[in-house]
Formats: sequence, structure tokens, C-alpha cells
Amino acid sequence: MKRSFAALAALAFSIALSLTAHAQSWKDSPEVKALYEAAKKEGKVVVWGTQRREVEWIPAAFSALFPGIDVQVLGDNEIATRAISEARAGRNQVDVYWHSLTGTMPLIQRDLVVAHDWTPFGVAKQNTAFDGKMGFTSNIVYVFVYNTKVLKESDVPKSWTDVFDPKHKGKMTASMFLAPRFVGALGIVWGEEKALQYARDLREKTDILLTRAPRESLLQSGERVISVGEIDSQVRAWIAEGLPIAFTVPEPVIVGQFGASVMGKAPNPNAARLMAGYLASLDGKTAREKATFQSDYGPTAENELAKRLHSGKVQVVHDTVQIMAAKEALYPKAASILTGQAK
Amino acid sequence: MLTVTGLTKSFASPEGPLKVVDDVSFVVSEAQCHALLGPSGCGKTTTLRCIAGLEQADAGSIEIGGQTVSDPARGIFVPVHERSIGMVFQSYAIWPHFDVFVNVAYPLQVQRPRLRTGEIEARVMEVLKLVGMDAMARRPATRLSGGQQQRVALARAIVRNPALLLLDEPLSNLDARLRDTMRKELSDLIARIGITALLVTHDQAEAFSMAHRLALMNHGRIVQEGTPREIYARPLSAFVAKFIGAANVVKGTVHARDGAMAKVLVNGSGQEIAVATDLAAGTPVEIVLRPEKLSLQAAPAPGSIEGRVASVTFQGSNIEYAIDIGGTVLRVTAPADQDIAVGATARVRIDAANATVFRAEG
Amino acid sequence: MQGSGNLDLGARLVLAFGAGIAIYLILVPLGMLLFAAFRGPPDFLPFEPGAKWTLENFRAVYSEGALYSRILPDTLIFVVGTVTLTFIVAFALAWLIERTDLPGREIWFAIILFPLLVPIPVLAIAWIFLMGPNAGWLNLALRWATGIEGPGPINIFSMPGLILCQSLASVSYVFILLTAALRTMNPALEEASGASGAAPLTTFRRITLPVLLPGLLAPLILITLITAEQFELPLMIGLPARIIVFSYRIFFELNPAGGLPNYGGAAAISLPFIAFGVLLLLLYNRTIRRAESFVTVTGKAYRQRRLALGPWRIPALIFVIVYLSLAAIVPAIVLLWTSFFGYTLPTSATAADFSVEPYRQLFANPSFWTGLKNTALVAGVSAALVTFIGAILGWIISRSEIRGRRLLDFLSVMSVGIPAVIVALAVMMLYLSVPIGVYGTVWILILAYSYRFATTTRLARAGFMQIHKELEEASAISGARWLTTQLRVMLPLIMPALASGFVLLFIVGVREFTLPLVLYSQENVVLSVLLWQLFQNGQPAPSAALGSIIIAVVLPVILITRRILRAQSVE
Repeated sequence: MKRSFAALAALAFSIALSLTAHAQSWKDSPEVKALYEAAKKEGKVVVWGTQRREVEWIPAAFSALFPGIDVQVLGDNEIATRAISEARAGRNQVDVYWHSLTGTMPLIQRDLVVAHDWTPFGVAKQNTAFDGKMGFTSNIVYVFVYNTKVLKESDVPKSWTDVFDPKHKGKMTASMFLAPRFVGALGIVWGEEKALQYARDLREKTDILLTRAPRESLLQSGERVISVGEIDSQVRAWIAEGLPIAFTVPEPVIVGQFGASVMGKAPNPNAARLMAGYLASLDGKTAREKATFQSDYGPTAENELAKRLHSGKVQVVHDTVQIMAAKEALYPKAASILTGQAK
Repeated sequence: MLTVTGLTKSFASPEGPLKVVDDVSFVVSEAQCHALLGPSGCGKTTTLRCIAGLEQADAGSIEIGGQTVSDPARGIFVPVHERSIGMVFQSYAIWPHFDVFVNVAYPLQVQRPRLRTGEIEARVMEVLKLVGMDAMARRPATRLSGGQQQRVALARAIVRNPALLLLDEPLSNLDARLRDTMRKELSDLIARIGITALLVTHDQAEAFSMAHRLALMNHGRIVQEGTPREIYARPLSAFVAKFIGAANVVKGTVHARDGAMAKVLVNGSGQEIAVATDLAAGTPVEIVLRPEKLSLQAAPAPGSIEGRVASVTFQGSNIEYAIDIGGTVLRVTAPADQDIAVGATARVRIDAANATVFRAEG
Repeated sequence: MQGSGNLDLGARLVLAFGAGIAIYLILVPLGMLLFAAFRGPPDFLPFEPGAKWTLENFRAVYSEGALYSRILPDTLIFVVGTVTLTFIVAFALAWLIERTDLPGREIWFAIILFPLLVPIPVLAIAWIFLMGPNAGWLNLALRWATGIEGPGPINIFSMPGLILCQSLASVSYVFILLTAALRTMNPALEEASGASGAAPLTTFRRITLPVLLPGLLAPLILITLITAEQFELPLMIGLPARIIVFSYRIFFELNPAGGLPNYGGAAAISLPFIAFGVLLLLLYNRTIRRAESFVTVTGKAYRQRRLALGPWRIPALIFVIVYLSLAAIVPAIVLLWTSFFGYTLPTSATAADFSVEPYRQLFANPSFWTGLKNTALVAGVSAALVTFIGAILGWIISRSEIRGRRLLDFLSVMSVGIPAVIVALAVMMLYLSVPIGVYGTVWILILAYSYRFATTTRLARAGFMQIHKELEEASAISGARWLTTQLRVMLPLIMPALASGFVLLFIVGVREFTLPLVLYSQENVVLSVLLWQLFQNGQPAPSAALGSIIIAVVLPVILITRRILRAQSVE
């Protein structure tokens, strides 16, 4: 008995050892080490992302693992335009481009990003897109947010159709920026007709406050107590700031995909590869989650929500290249209905 | 028609309240033209504005046509638009967006109860004719010359027959020749319509020719009041004398006395002038000598002072000589036939009867 | 009027330089606008190889039925309502500050300018806190006082609510322009009216307003154009009430679901604004043609007589304080509170929630100091440049017979109609393409900011119009060259107008964030970008702290300018 116990312990120990070893191993692989040396000679890497918050953690985290390279970041809504304009003018300043699938499309279409091999960084093929031009880093999901001082979790809608429960009437708000997007996504599983009708009903029957005003203020003051369709990472950030809120993940679950790409004419190509690979690696994902609350809900992720999403038991609208066009086609129609321009 | 009693007004200034009008009192009788004369800053304009109602006095009473319009002690203040006045502003203040006719008709148009259009038109044309602007009734105000603006301003001021006409430096914006013409015209007009008028000016000639009586102001107070002739002949202080006419002011010290007369040593000259005064020996004095009361002599004579001709100015019927007597320059007006060259020695004869002596100020 | 023959070489150089810069600065964004409007399809940038000439942008916007049944009527009501309310309030405030003895004038002047400094989302949040139908403080108070049930009675999410908010945000701008106009009015004109027997109200109606007309029309036109262009408040407060204004379409085109912003569509929607602006300017020119001869400054110093308010002092003060509370004080308090307490509400805050940490973090952040320096530089230099341009153009348009001056006038007004994003795109493209090394530096920001010379041109023009030409002529006859005359005679006289313009542009420059965001680099970061980023990050305390600091920094500039203005006018 004692012997088998010891053997079991030894087995467990060696498994654990090999697991951690595996987790550390991508940084120690000769390929990555050579890349690092080359990157250090270049000395600099420039990363562009969608918002400051999404990129400002990168210099410190990256330099902790790969010191000696100057990391410069930029977070802006217009980086697609900038990247394209600069490329056209021959002034290539950006190395790594971080954006959503749809946000990276314009660069893909213009052949501005290059494919490379992500496996040295421990990134599985299913976590890449566009034939290796993009490596996935993280996801977002759309959630319902509620004011915990006023509502209990049981009072809050659990699915997208729950919002029509009369007890929620007059209590909800939603972002005019995000609403057309989630309606577009719903159209993928429900079909266009039902999704647009959903938009109509949302507008007409629920007295929802559709606005571009910051919903966190509305929740904070109690002007509205539920927000329909917020980004989970943003909500976690609000909670960390002290807002008395919590959230539920309604079904069908709408997922957004973000990833990093290496620019074709990157001024520091080796550093670019290293950075992109880092961002898509487990280390990068962990650091990102810690800094921005944006998690990985991909098929290889370990957290509970990811497992649920890939269990097959939950209706999910994954963000993929195939459905991109359909979603985008629905967006203007949904916007038109939600703003009241169209019937 | 206008009675001002004890008018006082102070303005706030960084150094504390500044008394701009200090206990000013005077009376303007019916159909008389009264002038407030003085250097800039003497308070004459502020007095005028208090009478108009554009400023509120701190103390004192103002009565126009028998009605008290301002008396802070009794809490009375009639606002400007309820006073029976007409005012000609220094800048004329002709409204640029009206034509001549509307500018003049305005006081009648705003009158309540309303006048009939025909009445207004008749009266306006009557007044325009009076000032000689009837041909230009429809001209836009922006196309008027300075003199024309002045006439329109006057017409506007008298169109509703106010009890009192106020004139704030009415001629100062005109060129010299126009000024002379307008001075006469204005004076005649005021006399003709028989209106009571108060004129404010810094120009002695203007005040003298237009006003029946005038009050000379300095530092907010009236220093002398009277008819032009009185003030000219008997100025009560060196300031008045200096202001009223082109005067020579000779500074000196009383040297010796001889009965009612005294000999004054002229500063910087070493010469003496005999004057009638009872000031004691040693008193510093200022002697006022009118240029036209001085005469030039070729030969030395008692009561004359010697000097050198510094400049000669031909003035048409006279010649004005500037005679340097050492330390002072005396201006002497002499007939044109007396021809003395620059640089020559001349003797100025001073008649003690025409010399006014004041104790030196300050 | 000075014919070109009277201008010496120095004059020609200065005028050509000023006009040249003006044309250059505005043609770049204007050119891009005109170009982009006719380029498509939307998934190509206007200058990319795949783009073609097309009218599709116009067709897409103008063939939509909702445009005519909903959008245009909504926009019309919104603009007319806002401009009316703004003008009435701004005029009343300007009158009280410039022409009466209202106590505390200098302080009110500074505070009235506050809303210009506060980013519009912050203002909106404060007003939602106040007037939100469910939980707004005013509503809570009213409900408690009258016993009526919620929601309401005040509903900010409505057309009246939107008009109120937009007006509160716009009054400051019109106020500055109106004070400039009021300051140059000859008080003798009003006194003559009083001395003619007209009661104060009659004087106001028949004398003051007509003479002031040129000075009133210019701000009226500008605010109409600017209001028509607004989309921030309509998005936050109008959309929930299904109010769709024309400018919303611009926002919509620039924020598509995927792919690139549709610059072509945005440009196509902006063109009517430009046309509208040109139309208004034509109207303005026609109306004030006669007024060009309303010369009021004759070189004599004006004693600005202030109306004694007497018992009206109290209602006037109440009016000013109510306005300031809504427009400035409550937002400022919300800002300050948030900077120290974050999301915690006053009702549930404890001493433990108070923290100066956001301030400390800001001061420790090198970006903050870089941003501060850059902001002062960019806002200051661009404001000075635009004021200079405005003065030159103002002189050319109103005091010369140089050919083409009408065109300059129209060019200046067009600058109001171009959306900032298009300007940013234009500037970015230009300096990427030319070898001048300003891309990524503060200089590109200065150049980008400096296209907005509509306001200063109008102000300078109005200022010049009021100065009698004899003053210039006297200087010339005395032997002074044109430049000397301008610097020694004209400049001091129009200084009030120029100073007002400078202050306004400085504040606008500090607040501007679209341009520096698109043209951002680590080197040229400005405070407004930092603020926007913190705000977007959902970090309320640091962004509120930065907002408070920005106000604290700009306030001295306002006060100093006010001092200059006071020294200029003889009181």
C-alpha cells in the first residue's frame, strides 16, 4: 500500500513536472532563443491595438520575459486606416497589429500581414486564422450587467429573449454602439428575419434606453439597473473600479475573437514575430487576462466558461471568418431599426 | 429754469473715492445760455451728465423747469428718459442705421401718448429747416459730414421743445473755420427759439461768445461765476486769469512797498514792476498781464521793462511779439504798423492798472 | 478702403503670407473632403488603388426615405431650438457681464467658460445624473416636494432635454463672441436715445439691437453651423428618444461593424454642411452690407457706462447662478467627486473611499508631463496662428480691395463644416506623402488644428468694421508704413476681438481630441488624448482627475486674457 502510494506520488510529481516544463519550454526552445537574439539586435518593437488599455500592459509583461527590447505601444480606433495609409506611403512603423477578426480583415485583404509558424510558441493550429496570419490571443463575450444593490441574480434575464419579461420593462439600457453588433450575431443563429424582429421588439416593447452615453454612469446612478449586451472584459474592469455590479452570460452566447498579426513590412521583423508569438502564447494570455480582464475562451483554454462554450451543450455564436460577412450585412439594418429610422 | 444746489459726485478709483464734482451750485434763468468752462477733468461733463440723468449724483439737488429731478437726500431720481431735456453729445451720437429724418423724428416717435404721423412730420421738417438740413431729410446718417451731423444732433435735441438744452462740447469735433461759423449759428439759433441752454466746454472763446453767464470750474468746484465781461475784467485767481484769456503770467516776489503800491522783482530778470496790491514784502506772487494791454516803446521810460524780441508773429491786423525779459517771455500784441525786428531791444510798458496780482499758488 | 496701390512691399508680404497659410491650411482638408465624397466603394480608402469615382455615397445617403421624413425634421427642430435658447441665454449673460454692474462679473466670466473645457461625455453624465427620469437628483427632489410619482417629471431623454443640454454646452462659445461685440458699442448712441425720451426697452429695441446687428449675426451663423454638426450629445441624449440628427449619419459611417471607416460616406454627408455654411455667409454679407458703415470707434476711448441694476440685481444673479449651476458647477462637482471617489455615490460614500491616488499616479506618469507641455504648445501656437490668420483675413476682407477677398471669406466659413476625422485623414495623408518630417511630432498637430479660422476671421472682420478708416489714414499720412499702422494703431484697437478669439481657440485646442488621436505618437501625446484613453479604459477616477487638472490649468489663461481685455477698455 505504501509502495503504490509512493509510486502514485512519484507519477503525479513527474506529470506535474513535465507539465510545467512543457509550459516553460517554448521560451527555452532553441528556435525561440535564436529569435530572441535576433530581436535584441533589432532592439525595438511597435505594437498597435484597439485601445490604450489593451496594449499598455504589454511593455512591462514582455520585458519581464524578454528584456532588452524597447516596446512601444499605440491604442486607437483608427489603426486600420493608419496602417494602410502608412504602408501606402512607404512609412512602415508598426510591427505587430492586434485587433478583432473583422478589424484585421482590411489588412488581410491588402496583403499587409504575413503568415508565420505559431507552433514554437505553443499555439495550436486551431488557435490561428487566415492560414497562420493571425494568432488568437483572447475573446470577449456579450453579457448582461445588473446593479447588485437593486437586483438579485435570479431577477436578471438569462437569455436574450428573457429581456421581454414585463418585469424588466423600463429598467434596461444598452449601448447603441454594441446593440447592432449583437443583433447581427444573433442573426447567425436565428436568421435575419427573427433577429431584425428582435431589434424591433427591443425598441418598441421594452422601453430600453439605447444610448451612446456611458452605461456605467447609468448603472451607477440607478437610472437604469440592467444593461443588455456589454463586453465582459469591460464589465470586469468596472467591477474592479468599485461599481456595484455583476453579470450573467446569456444564451446564445456571442463570442468575439481577437488576435495578433505580424506586419509584412515590419521594421523589426524578428522582434515582431517574437512579440506576436508571445501574445498568442499561454504566458501572453495569462498576462493579458490579469491586466485587461480579457480572457481566452478558445477550445484549448482551461477556464470554466471556455469549457462550457466548447462542450456542445450551449448555443454559441463563435466569431469566425465564415460568418463575418453575414454579420456585417445585418449590422446597418439592425442599426437602422434600433435608432428608429426604419420600421 | 435750471437750479443746481450742492451737487456732489465721487467716483471710485484705485486711490480711494475721487470727488469729481464738489458742492457745485448755480442757476440758469429762463431762455439764458449758461456755460460750464474748465480744463479737462474739472468735473464739468460729469455735472452735465448728472443734470441729464446719465449719472446719479451722490448729494445735492437738481431742478429742471420747477420739477426736482434729482435729490438723493430725499430719494428722488427721475430717470433720463423722463426728463424734459435735449442733449447734443460731443460725438453727436447720430444713429447710423437711420436717415436724417428718423434721427430727428425719434424723440417724437417714442413719446407717449403717440403723436400723429402728420404732426411728427410737420414738426421734424420745421426743425430741419431751422438748422438748414431740410433738403437732406432722407439722407442716410452714415453719409453726413461732421458739420451736418452736428446740425442733425441739434435738431434732434430741440425737436420736442424740451425745458432744457444740454450741449457737451458741441463744437470741439469741428475744424477751426467751421467752428467759428457754427458758433455764431448755434448762438443765434438758441436765442431765436428761446430755449434754456447749458453748455459745457473747455474752449474759452466758445463760452465767451455763446453764453450769457459762465461758471469756471476746477477740480470739481466752481471757482468763479459771472458774465464773460466780469470774469475777464476781474478774475478772482491766477487760474481764472490764465484760463480766460491768453495771458502773460509773470512770477516774482514783492520787493518793496510804497503805500498802496508795491514793487515786484521779476524772477530771473532783475527788473521790477510796479503794481497795486496789499500783499506784504517777501510774498511770492503771480502777475497777470493781458497782451493787448501792453505796449512797446522804443525808449526807456518809467514803468517799463526791457527785453529782447524773441519772435514776431504776423496776425493780420496785429503783430504778436514775444519779448524775453529774462526768465520769462511776455507776449505783447501791437498794431501792425509798429515794426520791430527780431533780436532788437524793446521796452514793454506795463500799466499798473492793467496788472492783476495774485499770491502765487502752490 | 485701401487699394492695392497703397500697400508697400512689407504689407504685401505679410498679407500674402497670411492668406497663403490660410489657403494652404484649409485646402488640404477641404480638398480631401471633396475628393473622398466622390470615391468608393467603402471598403477602400479614398486614395487606394481599388477606389473609383462614384456617386454611390450620395445616392446611399440621399435616397433614403428616412432622411426626409425623420432626419431633416429632427435636425431642423434640434438646430432651431438650440440656437434660439443658446442665443437668448448667451446674450443675457453677455449683457449682464459687459453692460451692467452685476456683482462678481469677473468670476462669472471665467466660470461661464468652464463647459468649453469639460469633455462632452462628462457634461452629459452630469446632466443625466441631474435630470435622468428615474434617478435624476432634480427629479428626486421634485418628486419629494410635490409627491408625484416617477419617472420624471423631467425627462432629459427627449427633444426639449436634448435642446437644453446642447444649449448649455454651446452658450460659452456664443457668450465670448457676444461680449466682444458688446464691448465695441458706443454708449453715447444709447444715451442719446434716453435723452430723447425713449424708455430703456425702446432704446434696446430701436437702437442697441440694430447697431449691434453685425456683431450678433456672426455668432449666430457660426453657432448654427456648429450645432448642425454636433453629434455627441444627440448620440447620448437624443438617440434614446429616437431623435436622429443628420450628423449622426457621419458618426455611423465612421464606425462600421467591420472593416474600415467609410470616409467617402462621411464626406458625402458633410458636403451639405459646407454648402449650408456658404449659404449662410451669403445671407450674412447681404444683411450687413449697410452696417459696414456703422462705424462706432472714432479713436476716442469709450467710457463703458454700466447700467445700474438696482433691485434687478437679485433676479439677475439668480439667473446667472442657475445657469452656471447647470452648465458648469454641477459638472465640475461631478468631475471632482469622481476624481476622488471613483464610482462611489455621495449617498453611500465613506471617508475610506476618498483617495488622491489618481492624482498621484497622474503626476508620476511621464506621459502626463509630456502631454501637459505638448498641450500648452499645440493649443497656444495653433491659437496664435489662427488668430494671426484671422486678423490678416479680417483686414483683407473688410479693409482692402484686393481681388479674391470674398473667396477668402467663404473659405474661412467652410472650415466649420468639415468633420474633424476627415481633417485628420487629410493631414495624415499629406504629411505621410511629403518629405517634411512633421509626421508624429507636435508640429503636425499644430498644422492640423489650425484650419479652424472661421471664428477669428469673423471676429477680426467685425472688429475692423467698427474702426473708422480715418484712424488708419491718419497714421499713413503721418508717414507710417502699412505694417507700422497695423501694429501701432489697428492692433491695439482690435485687441479685444483678437483676445476673445485667442481664448476661444486655446480652449478648443486643449479640448480637441479627434485630431491628436488619429495623429498620435508617443512623442506628441496631448492631455485630451490621455483623457480620452483613460475614459475609454473605464477608469473614472484618473480620467476625472485629469479633467479637473486640465480645467485648473486653463483657468489662468482665461483670467489673464480677461485682464488684458479689461485693460483695453476704459472704464
